Amino acid sequence: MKYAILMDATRCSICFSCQVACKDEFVGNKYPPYSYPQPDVEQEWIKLEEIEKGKFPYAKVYPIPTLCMHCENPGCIEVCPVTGAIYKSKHGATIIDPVKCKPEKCLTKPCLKGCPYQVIFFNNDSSIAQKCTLCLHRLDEGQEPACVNACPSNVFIFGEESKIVKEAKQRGATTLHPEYKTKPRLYYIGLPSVTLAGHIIDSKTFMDVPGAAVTIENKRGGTPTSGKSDISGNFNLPGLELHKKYALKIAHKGYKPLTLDNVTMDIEYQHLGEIKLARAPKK
Amino acid sequence: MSSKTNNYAKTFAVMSDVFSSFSPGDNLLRSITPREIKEIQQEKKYVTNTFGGGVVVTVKNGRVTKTDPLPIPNDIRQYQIKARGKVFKPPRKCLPDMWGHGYRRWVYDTARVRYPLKRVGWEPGGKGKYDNRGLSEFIRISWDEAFDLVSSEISRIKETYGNAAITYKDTFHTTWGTIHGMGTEYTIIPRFLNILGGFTEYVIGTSSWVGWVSGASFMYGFWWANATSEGHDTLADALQNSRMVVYWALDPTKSTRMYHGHEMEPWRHWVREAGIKTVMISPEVNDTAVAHADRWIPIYPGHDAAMAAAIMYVWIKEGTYDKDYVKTHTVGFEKLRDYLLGKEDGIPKTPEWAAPLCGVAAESIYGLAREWAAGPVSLNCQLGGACRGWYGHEWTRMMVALQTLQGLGKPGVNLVSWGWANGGAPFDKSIHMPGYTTGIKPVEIKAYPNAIPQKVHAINVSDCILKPPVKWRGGTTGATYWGEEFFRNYSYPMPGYSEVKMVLRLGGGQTLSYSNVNWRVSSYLSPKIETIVINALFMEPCMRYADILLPACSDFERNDFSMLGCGGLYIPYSGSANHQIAIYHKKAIDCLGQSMSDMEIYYNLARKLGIYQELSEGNTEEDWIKKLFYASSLCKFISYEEFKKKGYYIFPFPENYKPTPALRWFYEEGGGLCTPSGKIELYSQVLADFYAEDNPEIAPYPKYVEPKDGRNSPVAKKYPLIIFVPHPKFRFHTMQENVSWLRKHSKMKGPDGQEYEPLWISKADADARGIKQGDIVTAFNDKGKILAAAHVTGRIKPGVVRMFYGAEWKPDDPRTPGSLDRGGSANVLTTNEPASCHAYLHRIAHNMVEVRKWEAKK
Repeated sequence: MKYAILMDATRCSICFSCQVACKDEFVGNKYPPYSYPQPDVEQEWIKLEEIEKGKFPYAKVYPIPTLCMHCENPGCIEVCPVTGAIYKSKHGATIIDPVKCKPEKCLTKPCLKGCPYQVIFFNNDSSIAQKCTLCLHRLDEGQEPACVNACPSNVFIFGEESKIVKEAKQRGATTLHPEYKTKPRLYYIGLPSVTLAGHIIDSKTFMDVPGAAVTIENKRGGTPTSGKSDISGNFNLPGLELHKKYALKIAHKGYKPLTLDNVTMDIEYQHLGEIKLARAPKK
Repeated sequence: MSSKTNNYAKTFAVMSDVFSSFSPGDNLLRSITPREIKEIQQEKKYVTNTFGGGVVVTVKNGRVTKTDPLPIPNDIRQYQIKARGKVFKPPRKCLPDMWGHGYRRWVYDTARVRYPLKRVGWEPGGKGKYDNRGLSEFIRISWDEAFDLVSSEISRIKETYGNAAITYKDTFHTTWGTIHGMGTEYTIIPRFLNILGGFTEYVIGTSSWVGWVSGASFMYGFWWANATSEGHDTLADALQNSRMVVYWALDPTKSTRMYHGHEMEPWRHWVREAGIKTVMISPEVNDTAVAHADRWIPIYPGHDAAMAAAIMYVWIKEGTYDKDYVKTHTVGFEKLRDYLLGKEDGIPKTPEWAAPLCGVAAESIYGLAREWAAGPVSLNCQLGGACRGWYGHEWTRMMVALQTLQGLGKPGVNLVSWGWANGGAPFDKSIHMPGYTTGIKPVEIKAYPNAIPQKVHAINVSDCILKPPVKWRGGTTGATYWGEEFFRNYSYPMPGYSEVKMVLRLGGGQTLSYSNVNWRVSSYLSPKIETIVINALFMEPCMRYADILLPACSDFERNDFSMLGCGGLYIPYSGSANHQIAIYHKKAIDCLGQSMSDMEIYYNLARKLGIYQELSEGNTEEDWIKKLFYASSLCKFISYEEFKKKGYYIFPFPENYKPTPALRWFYEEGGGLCTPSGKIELYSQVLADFYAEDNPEIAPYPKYVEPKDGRNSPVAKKYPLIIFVPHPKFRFHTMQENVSWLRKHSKMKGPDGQEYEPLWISKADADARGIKQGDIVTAFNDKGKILAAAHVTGRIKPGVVRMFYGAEWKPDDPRTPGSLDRGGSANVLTTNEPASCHAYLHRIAHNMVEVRKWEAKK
């Protein structure tokens, strides 16, 4: 059975449990035939980054955990000169065999550069290339990978590939850098994207206006993007283009419609602040 | 065998399967050597609890190889909460945090103190050199010599000066344990000293609950629970009834992991899944805000009371508070109303008035006030940054007042913590278990009260030692906070009692987790202190000032007994974890080096001093555990032998659970609180009688008080930035600061390749000072000077910089207090002045500093 991971990064509260659990699993511990010990600090088989966009007071934090994407067409295997040193396991995992990996046969360590996601590390002590193993030794025991098991927020949805792919599609998840064309097995919800945001409030009471229809149009044509303000009156419209000009339309029952004609996406997370909607006069 | 017993037997059979030594799978056998198979078969698993949550410890060849979250088997009945068409169930595992996952790395760190050590230059009998404390080397001595030296010093000091010449302080929070958890007066070391005739108590009062004990308690009581209200069933109440959750001046995701890990993290996700609005009021976009808040309202730390006053002003003006409730459930509303409307001082506390003070736009305050009034709000504020700073008691009183005006205790209207101390998950209230504050209190036959009335306080200890006499009022003692404590006078030295000559300590938290490090360390250098003895797990910076170091073992190296997330005696359990799990903490590995448990160390000293029988009452470690077991509810569910063998027991959730939401009884009855009137006292006659009405720092009703050394004071001309110092994320006070896995994330690498503690600074403040991301900066004020790495971010309010406390202190010259600290220990910059004239307690969270780009001298 092949596995995949759907990562709902919007749930991540940056607690680092996944990262430290990976350390605890692998530092000083070997799991033949899959892995030799991870060094104490140098390598991060799972890495947790806090990507900050936007400006005060609308700073937006995107926590992004990255690990080996366990690609279907991995760049690392392609460039490895030693037959069988890097292979695809029956679980879909990409594994560097710690015994067959012979750096003396490939002084340039091509796999480190062959992986566009840069998740392969070189261990100077044991002279081998290393990375995430999808915790195959744990899967053999019927346990989830250590990072998945450690997450208190259900950021990771781990399971059989076809189910995960289906859910990923339903929820609009994307892979990281699909342009690399390596067919990653990790799908993400909540990746940074050029986003227009705002907080819609009532012009008189300054209370949140939930449920307002928000539409944005590229001034030079193209399909309009639309959404609704959430329970707190916030809207987030991702997937826009930087430096492009847009027209923003807000409409809600009982309010005068509002159009902001010249919204330029100057930064990747552009928050328009409090947008005041005025009540429509009662007829 | 009854059917009930049968069920339990079945449960255990399943549990055994979970933890039996595992059999290697097919894949694993492919290239596995016979030696490796043998190793795996020798693997042993132990269930234990750490200060970072409940874990299974794997031990191979006598070494811990990893810790995993403790799983909850499928046949254990869990709670579930039905709300808004959804069913919320906790995960079937414990949720340890990075501390729990990093525990192994900590236990084996090279900084462990493995042998008894004696400082070069120190001599018994008060004849040593004291001016080289902090600098001199240590030499290894035998346990025999260590016990001889310490016991003879105790005898000598006692005979020469009397018992008052000895003081003792535990660390902030110790490693986990009930009988070994040495963080309270109910444990072995205070008992040891009390049997000898007492000691000068080193009072800390509190430094995390300052504003709650000194403020909120005068309004609604709850003296026994650090002045936080009940936590019972606040989770279900919020999920079912609240329209909004307000997080005010706290970061529960980061700060409330103590002794259970992330048990409550799912709850905050449920709040959002249930479609409840959330808002974070804080100086920073903290971790809770990142994952759980719809909106961030940036505020100047310590100025929160102005915003709260303005919210109430709006309610009163618009008539949107619960008038009937106020009439029947409170006293003194008129006084508070007059203050808010400006009848008292001519200044109406409008949002426009509050805006420049708290830094929140008036429109935002109006908006929030109206949102708040529009439906039930659960206010998540208990344990919080704002209670640890300027006039923290005004913030906590404002929090109680806000919810009181909306009918505190009504469905969906509550004060919640959802963190340490106050839980909120449904739990079996008939179960009584020990926790970390329990000690051996419930099972000791004879109690020994302290016969010495003299005290020193954590915020005046160096003054006591260096420039006595010292007089003060309040500050509270020990763990229970009663109103009269605030009005009691103390002096040091007390007539007829000696000054302190010998210091006994446990752990290192007292130095860097408390305020004003330079001032604190200055007394360590005093020749008046003839002997300093510390039970040390790690060679923390302050250990270098000891004369004798006694190597203590970690909780993986001793046995104990407790319940996950349980506070014990004086922090009533109120659902602080998702499952009630009794744990027999089995010793997993031998003590490292020559270390031994703190209890064993003091048992040995007691033998030398001839008080072993009184101290132990004949109990070994195992005997104490057994007695506590029989004093707990657990003995009704399982035999001691079975429990010990199994290692833990999960109480099944009761079938016919009846929730008793916090303060609902008060809402229904309108009285019965532990206040003079039994009602919520919006005006406290007790405070009025003591301080009069016009005391500028504490009024009988909640009030905004402008910090006298804050951003609007003359101090700000020299030091214009507020330094906001919350509880640390990557260490537990100072513990685990040495764990390389965590330092990787907690520190920033400077351009010189050295590790620096990050200082969060806004772009505006950084630009004004020519500071760029990653620059080494110095932060300084009259208390000291530190180095840090600038993290320039939009996540902090301009005018405020943020640093966690507890970083490794690396002074250029350990002998000269005030010399540059390259480690970035934030408490170098915090004052030891009391929080106010009323709260004789730490004020760590809010102080003023200036920050500059650091240029190393060439």
